Amino acid sequence: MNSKAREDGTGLTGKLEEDLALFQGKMERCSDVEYHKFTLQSGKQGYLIFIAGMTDDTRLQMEVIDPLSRMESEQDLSGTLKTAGNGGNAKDLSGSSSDAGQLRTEMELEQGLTGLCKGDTIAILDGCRKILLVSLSKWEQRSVEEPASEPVIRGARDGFTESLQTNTTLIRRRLATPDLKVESIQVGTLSKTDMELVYLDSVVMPGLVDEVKQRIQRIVIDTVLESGYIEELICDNPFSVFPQVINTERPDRAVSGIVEGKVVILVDNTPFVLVVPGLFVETLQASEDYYQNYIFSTMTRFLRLGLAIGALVFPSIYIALTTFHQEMIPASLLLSIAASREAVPFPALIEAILMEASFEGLREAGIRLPRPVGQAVSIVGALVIGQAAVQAGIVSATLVIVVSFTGIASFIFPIYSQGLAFRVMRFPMMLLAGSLGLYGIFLGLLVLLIHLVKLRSFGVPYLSPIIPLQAAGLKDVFVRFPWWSMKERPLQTGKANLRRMKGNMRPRPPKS
Amino acid sequence: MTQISKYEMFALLALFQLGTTLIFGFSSDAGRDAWIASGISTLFGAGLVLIYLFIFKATGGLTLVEWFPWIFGKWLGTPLAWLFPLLFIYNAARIISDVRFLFPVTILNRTPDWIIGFTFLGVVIYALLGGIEVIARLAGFFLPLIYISIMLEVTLLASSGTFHFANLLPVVGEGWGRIWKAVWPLGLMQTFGESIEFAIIWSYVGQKKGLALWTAGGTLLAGFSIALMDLLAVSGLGEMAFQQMMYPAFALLKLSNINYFDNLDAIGIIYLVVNAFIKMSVHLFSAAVCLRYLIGGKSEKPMVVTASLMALFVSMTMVISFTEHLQVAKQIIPYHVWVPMFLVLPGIVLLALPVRKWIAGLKT
Amino acid sequence: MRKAAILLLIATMSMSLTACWSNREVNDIAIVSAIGIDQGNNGNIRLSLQLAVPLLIGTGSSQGGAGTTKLADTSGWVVSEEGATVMETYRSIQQKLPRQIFFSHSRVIIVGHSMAESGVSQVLDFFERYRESQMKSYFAVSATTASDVLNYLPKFERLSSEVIFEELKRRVLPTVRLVDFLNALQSEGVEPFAPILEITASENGESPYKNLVISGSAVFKEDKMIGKLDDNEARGLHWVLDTVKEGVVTIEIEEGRRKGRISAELEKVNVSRKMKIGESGKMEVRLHADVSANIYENTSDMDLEISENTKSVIDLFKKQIENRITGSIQKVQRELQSDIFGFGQSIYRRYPLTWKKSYREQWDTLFSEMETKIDVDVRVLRNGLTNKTIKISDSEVEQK
Repeated sequence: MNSKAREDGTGLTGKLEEDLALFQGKMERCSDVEYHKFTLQSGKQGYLIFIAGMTDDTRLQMEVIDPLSRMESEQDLSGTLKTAGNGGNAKDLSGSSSDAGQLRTEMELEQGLTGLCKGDTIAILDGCRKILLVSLSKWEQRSVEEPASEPVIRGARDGFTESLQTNTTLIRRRLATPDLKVESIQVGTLSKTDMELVYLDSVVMPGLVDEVKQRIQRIVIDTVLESGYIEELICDNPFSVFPQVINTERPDRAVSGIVEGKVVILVDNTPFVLVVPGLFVETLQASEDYYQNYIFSTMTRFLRLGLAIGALVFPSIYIALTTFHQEMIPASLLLSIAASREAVPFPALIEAILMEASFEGLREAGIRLPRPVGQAVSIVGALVIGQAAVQAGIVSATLVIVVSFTGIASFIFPIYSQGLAFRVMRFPMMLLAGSLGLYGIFLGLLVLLIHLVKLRSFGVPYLSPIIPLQAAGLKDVFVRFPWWSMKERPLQTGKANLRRMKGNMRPRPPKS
Repeated sequence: MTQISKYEMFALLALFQLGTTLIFGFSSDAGRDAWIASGISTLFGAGLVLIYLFIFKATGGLTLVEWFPWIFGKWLGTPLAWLFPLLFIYNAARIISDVRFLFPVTILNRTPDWIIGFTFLGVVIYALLGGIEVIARLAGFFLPLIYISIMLEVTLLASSGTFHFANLLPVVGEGWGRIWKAVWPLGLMQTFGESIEFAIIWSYVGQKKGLALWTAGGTLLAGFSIALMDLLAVSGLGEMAFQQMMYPAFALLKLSNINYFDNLDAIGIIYLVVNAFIKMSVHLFSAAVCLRYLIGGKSEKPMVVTASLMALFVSMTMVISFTEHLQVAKQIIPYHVWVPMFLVLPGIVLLALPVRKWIAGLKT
Repeated sequence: MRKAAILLLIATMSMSLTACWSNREVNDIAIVSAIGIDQGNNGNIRLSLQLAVPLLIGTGSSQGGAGTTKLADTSGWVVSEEGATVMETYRSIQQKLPRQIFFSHSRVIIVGHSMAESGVSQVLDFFERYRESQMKSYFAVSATTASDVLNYLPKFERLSSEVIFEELKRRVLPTVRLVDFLNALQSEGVEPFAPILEITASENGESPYKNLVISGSAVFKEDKMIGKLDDNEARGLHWVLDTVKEGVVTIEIEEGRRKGRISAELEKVNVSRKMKIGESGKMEVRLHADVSANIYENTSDMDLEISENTKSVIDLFKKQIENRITGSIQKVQRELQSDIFGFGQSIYRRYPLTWKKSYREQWDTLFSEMETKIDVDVRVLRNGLTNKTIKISDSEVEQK
């Protein structure tokens, strides 16, 4: 094999200078690669190759360079380097090496280079065809912070970060059981992005892990910059606007998914992890629902559901009622709407689309704008959309109320991507309302419903447990039952291990 | 093969039978005793549906179209079987007509009726391409929704003092004559006779144990709901208006007189869209399954499209005015089409069953 | 892909087609708030529509309340036209207006006095049939012409239709909705009636300010108005129909040292009716009124604490209510001979076969011969906030 590798030019030659040239050739015009020559006591020479900035300099000096210069012969080499890696944040990339973690040997140049690019330090030695890789990688990271996209009043304040390792730790710390499996997969021909599938072996939905693996392994793509790439490449219906995979920044949310029998996909370099299968009802459940009083949470859920529907159809209902079904508006309200619309030049449909579009524009601009300008824009925008437009007679005051309400309502979703879906669907609904009135709205809702019924996420019907109806599953949909009554995991994903708590957990005060 | 649960079949059956009667009123010829006529129709109807189920089980789970070749042999049975998909397509066409006549006069004045027929059918096809499973699951979702709407409607109407139950008196004041007239054949054949289509749907039910109970339950639920709506419509509108109105149930919704709920028309639209959707889907799906069996194909999908387009064509060409549409429904169809096909033919099958078994016994 | 294509199709379709069809903007419709029908020349009808003008109603902010300060202002505008049928007339009014007439929010249909007398059925058909009509609109007869009532300048509300609607809804006297009127018109054994609207001066004498009031009921036979009940008789009708929700009964106290009156507010009234075939084979109606009342005014010196007194007061109340009902029934039976109480219908409901056999044909004559028995139960629940009346010392009384 050695000889073969050498013949192919995919391995080392064993001659130090030639090998060095090989590396230098490959890493040509890479000014951040450093080559450090060392000499063993025996006079044998070697090189350490590493990327500046990805390696822990002090540890490299103390644990690798210093021992090397004291070393007698090459036989000690691997032993020394093994101790060097101890305690370092090294990790197993290939999963096949017997020297778990810190030290690996590779025969192929290509693999050595990959290791180098991921922050490993390479040692090559004269007369040795093996490439030794030591993991001493270290780079600047964001610390664990409160997730920006999913804040809570009550609940854990830690959020996932861009570091895969940190993220794994955040999950592992919440599930201290050997049952928690963390499987590693790499995707991306250029990016070589590390991903991890995290699940509980005894709970996970049967067949789900294999299915997820299969779908991920199928992917051949150059780079994976964010988990959104993976999400789009593994979902069931790629034409749907609805998120079939839940993405979250919150470790507690990810863990609750794992405990329900789902698989969490961690992707390196993004704080957003994926939870599959993702169901519709989950996008209306905030993790805080489970921490606050359950009666309050139930109320919140109904509110959320109502506002979610509002976000979808409120402007369309306004259009339908004011242009088709004036008889359904109470007389006095109709008169005030009519009065406020007297001067408006546009039909209600155009008016509504105009306002919705400018609201969406404002929202988008608010995200993109550099922070210092953001404040100014939001004030100006509010003024333009609101007071000024009404006074100028371009839009009616009633519509401003409708649009503002809808705007607020579309942010009600705990899972932001579901809000996006509703926001998008609002526009076709408005067109339908503008052409067919209430009939159009109901038709549109029916089409959406049919689409959702057809939709599946990793084999699980998207609308379950509502459609198909599973009475037991309804304990955690509209009403959040108290913890002591939710003795079982959700049926649709937790079938493998249904029981989650002993019966009779309802607290009772001692009888005195 | 896709399977549906018993609850879904139950919901499908109940919604199918409720159909558009929630808008059109049922047995309105019986005047203020319409609710009695509906109740009687329901009881007989449940019996009829159970007979269909019995045949279905006795033939070992054969679907409707397979009965006839099985009983009468290929040469006589196949032409008979062909009648059914055609009837189902015609029934679907009638639902399209219901929809396209009702919307323009109630809420969408001046919208061309073909737009309404077209869009509605488009939605139905979209659902049907997902198979019976999608329809059944939707039905399972809609059933509670419809009943919540009914409860809302009744509560709102009752609190606005719309119901005057004295309007129902005297019970059977005009004698049983007009009640029986309403029951036979229209009351029995409409909706309940049409449920013969479930002889196809039943074969998709996964767990067939207790099917009879769920079937009878669905029929009774639907039937008594219809009777209740009749009762409320008469007590709200009075007998005269109930009989004169084309859409008594819809007129009833308009009587709500609470300040903030000016009109309950929206509920009426929900009833109509949902029920017409389910009913049409079942009609077209049954037709498609029959066609697939008779023509011999692998998938229902092309049949669904064929059947739907045929239904649209029939609907657009068969009648010009709504009066004509109602006329046909009340005087021609029940006697000349429904009775022979929903009663006589299954009756013959029922009678031939023991003969067939006896012959089969001889052979072995 | 397929979905996207469908969506695109829907989008383009709706964009291109919204222009036509049934959509109309709120500011393109003329909202009819009340409908009036009078007799025109040459057998024509005169249709008056009260249109609500949104600009005059305005929203608080946009109008600054400028138009609301003057009492004489109204936001309504009455347009009328003559024509052969309602539909035709409505079209010719439409011709004069820049906006599309919109009927759905009309809550009141008023028929002029002479129109009512010549028969209303031919003008009501339109409202039963037309898509935008509301069967729950109130139906009333104007003491003069319908357009007088529509042109009334309201004080509390912006539109006279609001005034009419609210007054009819409060039901001080019996009122009917269109659906009830039509039912009564078409059912056997009952004849329709309708409230009469009249404009009166706010104060005695010639006051510039006017009130719009319900004064009595118009009694119909078939679709023609044949007479009217005054306020008191209409109240009697109210009682017989068991539609009394509120009201005051006043009695005169003759005995005692200080004569005076006692008024009681009705709290709950329940009138049940029983039909009996009497000994002579004559139909007999028995009305039983169950009344709970609270005494809120007592100008006599009768001490209501004493149970004997209470008893005699109750007796007087019974008498008073009985008289009111009898008066009304007698007037209708003797003079008008039109069964607006629906006694015939009650017979039909109770004895359908007998009704068909021997009453249906000659009900008009039989109705006026019908016997009525009235019995009233009165319970006084409360005597108001005080027990005693305002005391005037005995000596003061004697001095007078």
